[in-house]
Amino acid sequence: MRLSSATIYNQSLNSMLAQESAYQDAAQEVSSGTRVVNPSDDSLAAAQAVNVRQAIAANTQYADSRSAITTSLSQEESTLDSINDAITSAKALIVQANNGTLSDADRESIATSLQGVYDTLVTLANATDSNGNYLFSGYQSQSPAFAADANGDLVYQGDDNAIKQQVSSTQSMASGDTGATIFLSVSSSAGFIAEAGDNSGSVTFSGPTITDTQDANYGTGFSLTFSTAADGTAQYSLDGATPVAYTSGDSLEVNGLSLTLSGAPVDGDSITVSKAADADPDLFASLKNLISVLQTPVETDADQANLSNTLSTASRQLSNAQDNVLTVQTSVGSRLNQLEVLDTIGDDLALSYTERLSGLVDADYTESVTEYTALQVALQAAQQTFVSLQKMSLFEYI
Amino acid sequence: MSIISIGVSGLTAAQIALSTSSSNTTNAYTAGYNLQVATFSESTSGSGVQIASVDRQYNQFVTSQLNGSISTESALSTYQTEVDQIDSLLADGDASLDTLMQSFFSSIQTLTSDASDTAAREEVVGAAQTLTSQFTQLGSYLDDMASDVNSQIDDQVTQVNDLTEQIAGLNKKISLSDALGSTSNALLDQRDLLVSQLSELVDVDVTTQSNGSYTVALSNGLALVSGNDSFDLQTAVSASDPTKTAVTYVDAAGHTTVLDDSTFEGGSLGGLMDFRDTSLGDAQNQLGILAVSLTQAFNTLQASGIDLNGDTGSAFFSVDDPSIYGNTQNTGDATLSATFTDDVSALSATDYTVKYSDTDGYTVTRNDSGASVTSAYDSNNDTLTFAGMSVAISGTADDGDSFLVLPTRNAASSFSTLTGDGSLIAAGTSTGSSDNSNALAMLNLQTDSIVGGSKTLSQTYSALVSDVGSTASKVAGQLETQSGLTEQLTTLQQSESGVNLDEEAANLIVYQQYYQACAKVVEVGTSLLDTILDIS
Repeated sequence: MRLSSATIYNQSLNSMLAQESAYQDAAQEVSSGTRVVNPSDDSLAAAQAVNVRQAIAANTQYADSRSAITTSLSQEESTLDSINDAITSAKALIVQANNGTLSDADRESIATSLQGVYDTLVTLANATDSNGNYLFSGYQSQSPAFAADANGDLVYQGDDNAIKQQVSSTQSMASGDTGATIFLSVSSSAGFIAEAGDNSGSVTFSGPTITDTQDANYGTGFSLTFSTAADGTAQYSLDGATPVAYTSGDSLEVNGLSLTLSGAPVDGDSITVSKAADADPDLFASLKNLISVLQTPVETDADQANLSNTLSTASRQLSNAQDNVLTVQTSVGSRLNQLEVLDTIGDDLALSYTERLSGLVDADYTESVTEYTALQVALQAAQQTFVSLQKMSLFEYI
Repeated sequence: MSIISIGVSGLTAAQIALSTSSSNTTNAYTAGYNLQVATFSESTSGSGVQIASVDRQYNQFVTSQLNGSISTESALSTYQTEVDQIDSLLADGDASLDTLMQSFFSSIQTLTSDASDTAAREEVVGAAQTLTSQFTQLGSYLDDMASDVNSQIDDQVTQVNDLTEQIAGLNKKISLSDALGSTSNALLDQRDLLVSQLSELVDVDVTTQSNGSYTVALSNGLALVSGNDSFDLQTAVSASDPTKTAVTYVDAAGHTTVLDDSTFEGGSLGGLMDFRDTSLGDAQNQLGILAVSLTQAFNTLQASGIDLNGDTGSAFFSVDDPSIYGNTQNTGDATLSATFTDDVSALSATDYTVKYSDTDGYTVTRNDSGASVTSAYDSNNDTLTFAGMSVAISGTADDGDSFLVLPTRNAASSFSTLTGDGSLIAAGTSTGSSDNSNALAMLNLQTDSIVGGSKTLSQTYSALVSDVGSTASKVAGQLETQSGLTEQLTTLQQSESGVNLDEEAANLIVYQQYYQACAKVVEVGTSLLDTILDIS
């Protein structure tokens, strides 16, 4: 084929320019270590990389959430530990107070100790995190969980919403528990509580104990109201039914529960037995009531009965409260364990995402350096060809 | 015939041959130059030699193929120049939209950790502002590209008119010189060069008339050059879409015809129109639907939540309402205005055409697929609802009136964050300052299919990246193939019409020797004459 001089010039120039551009691209890839910068470099990889980066970002977010929750839960765990210790010492004080040989002054001093425990518990209940948010107020984290009302009774200020966060793509988790859950609840396994009314007689109870869980009415509480029969003897009415004669030492079997009574009731005295969960559990109210009874001098049989009944009730209430705190603690512990598992999964995911992303967009150095070197040789060849082609001319010889 | 005059005819022929060769040599690298060859023939007026003609080496068939290839290459190269800009805009980096969307959601995640933390709230506002300003920047860049394409079309139409006018002028000179019997190769070369330059702008069909003049026509048969006359193209705002410049044709009688974009398939004009009607519009719409979906979904959550001040949340993001343009040829006085409905999942990244007919009332079609769209017309308040939009109609439309609806085209450039106050983020659904329940729902927008009801924000962006990337690399591939073809055709054309300097050097030597030989003939003739004279 006949070639024109312009064609020879253009073709060798164009091939040199094409080599130069390819060489530049290869140099760029080697120096940046990235194969895909613009979408057109590899549109499929670029689009997939967007999705992988999104997955990495979401995974990082979940890891951040988990780390934040771990911090909150760890603080809650140690606070719960202290609460548990406080309840244990309160229980020990109740055991002490149960000693019949104690004087009023001894009880007064126990009451003082209990007041200390009470104050500790209030402080723990109103613990704050590093941002000054109250741990146990639910969404109302700017107000203390418990505050005293006009009567000096502690009232829960928070709500029932434990703050939740997304900890994995499918799971959300509470980063804490509310004060209501910790201080105003009993665990589902809690038994029954007997409470004396504002009695004037000396009737005391022991129990209740569960005797028959198969009883048709098992699970419901009952109330006893004492009155004086026409013959002057004491009698009691069960849930408002026809009164039955009362004898000290009687052991009642009601609704699958057994309650033993002793002492002398007077007209209007009452004892209520209810499921612990239905009895408005409130650790602070129980302690406060106990302290005030311990501070009351024992002068009459009725006083003695009141002390004994209150100690008995409080003892159960505190046990229930402690069980409840332990239940919450278990839940916190299991959440922390779950977080650890999720962290491991998250780390594995992060690693595999990063590898995937690198496979999509990063340069393979062996390959790109080889290509770079090859292109360098090719460019030099093109340049040499250009020079020697331009020298080839018949005009050189005439 | 004397030996001397025979020798002289050789000398004359040698001079013409040498000057042809010199002309070839000097024009070896001149664009549009065609090799000229002096043809020797025996003298018709007796003995001796004469130059019968000096011909251009020109192949009409190869040249028109080459022009066609140049036209296609020019369209692709223009398309590539434009689409590469979008390609670079979407390059991965710290400021890429997906990274900024991730930062935004990451700041919301921080907010869910402590909804009462004002610093976390400010971080959300900051990330939102960065995100929306990047959207605005990208959107504005695309808008600028759209207006740049319009002004490029203006420029190129002017160039087309300039070239066709010159071609018509050359037609006149050539037919004149043809009539006089002396065709100038230079004029022919010049006209072919102009046709080649015109092919870079627009694809044309060239036919040669018997008088040697060219008729140059557009692909739809309308003549740009006919004989000594040229017909102008003009630009005007498109009747259906005022954001676009349309090209019109003015015929001899002065009538104006609007040329459909499809008239221009090749040439840089064709490339520009193709780019504007496909890649550019698609990119604007896809960015737009991201902005609209995020705005609607986030604002809906805001409205259902309570902010840090205990008030119901207010709108956080804002985008412009859909744009609607009535066709300038509408005869009715109906005007349409649209707003987005809460049902943002019905939105698509496409434009729509609303038509009115007396028989069917208002009908809606998608502009990307031409498919008809279900719409609900409420005659009580004159509202047309379709595809996530509610269109209020005022006035009365006439039969045949049409309207262009652009739901997402301008959304990205108008995307903004409405507040700088973090306390206005409705993170909760109650007045509790640590209530993060709504913020959790906001965080879920990241993974919910909120775009068109089928894609997440990130998937939509990834589809945009994939579309632009594959278009850019497809065009680059096509351009490479087409350039190869042009190069081959150029080589073919040059093999016939190009100048080879070695060849010319050889010719120069040959004709120089030939000249010397002819001079020798004259010398011999002279000496013969001298001999005779000496005898006498």
